[in-house]
Amino acid sequence: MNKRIIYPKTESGVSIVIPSPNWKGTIEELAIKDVPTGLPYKIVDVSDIPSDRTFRNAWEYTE
Amino acid sequence: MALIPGTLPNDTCYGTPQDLLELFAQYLDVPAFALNSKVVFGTSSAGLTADVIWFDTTAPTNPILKITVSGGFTDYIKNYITSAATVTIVGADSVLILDASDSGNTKKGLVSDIVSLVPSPTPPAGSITFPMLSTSATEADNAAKRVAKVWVNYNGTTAGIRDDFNVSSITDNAEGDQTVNFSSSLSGTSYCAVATVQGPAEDLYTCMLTSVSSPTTSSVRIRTGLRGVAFADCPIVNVCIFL
Repeated sequence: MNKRIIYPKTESGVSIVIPSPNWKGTIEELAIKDVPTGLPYKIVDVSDIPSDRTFRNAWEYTE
Repeated sequence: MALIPGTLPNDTCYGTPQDLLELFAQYLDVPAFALNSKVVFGTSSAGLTADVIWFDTTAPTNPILKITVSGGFTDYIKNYITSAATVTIVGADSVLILDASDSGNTKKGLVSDIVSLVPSPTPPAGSITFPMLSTSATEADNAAKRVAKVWVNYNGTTAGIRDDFNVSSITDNAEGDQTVNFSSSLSGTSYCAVATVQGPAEDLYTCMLTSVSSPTTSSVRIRTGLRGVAFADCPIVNVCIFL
């Protein structure tokens, strides 16, 4: 699955949900299940996630 | 695997198709073969004519085949081995089968002989039987409690899962900070979570449950890093949970 789910962390920063290859549902169903209730989220392509993690802790969620 | 009987001659045998194949082939000389979860008895045995009989398992995915013979085991034999064989009821649990064409008298067999081959229905010590697949708190019958409810091997630098059981996703929260999300929620939070890592270099990399959030029935949050220095991504993170 070449999709990821991003949502803002409650402590600041951004969390990225990576589906298991064994996940049988849709990315939308996964978002409903694994994104904490009440938080906004977005579904993005893998290519939208930076591969350079040097400043990973500085990444932010933007609408 | 050997046959486990019901109370012959009344009714029920348990065994794999191969068990039944060997048993009937030995004593009744009826051509038979195993086909998937069934045993099929053919019609071309020399001197014997038998209907084709299909024994269906009640649970096709279950490796145990159950046969229920209505009217008792002896009646079953009488019903199907008649045209070229003489069947004599010898006792309550035995029957003599004599094939008239078999001058050498090699095709006779006693159900009692068959019964004598059948081991005790009590499984060997240590066997995992269905009742043990419970989550009972009783040590003797809780095989399910000894099996991991969740396990996963993932790459902490990408949060990509290599393989897992009961894991829907990994959430990459920050450097050295991931949440393992369960496909099916666990029954409680008093589980034993075991985690190990392979660090990016030969050093004291370690893994721990984070204090940022408590374990829940649906996820557990992991932190990895170089002990006493900094959190860091690790290329191999293993998490296993027992409950």
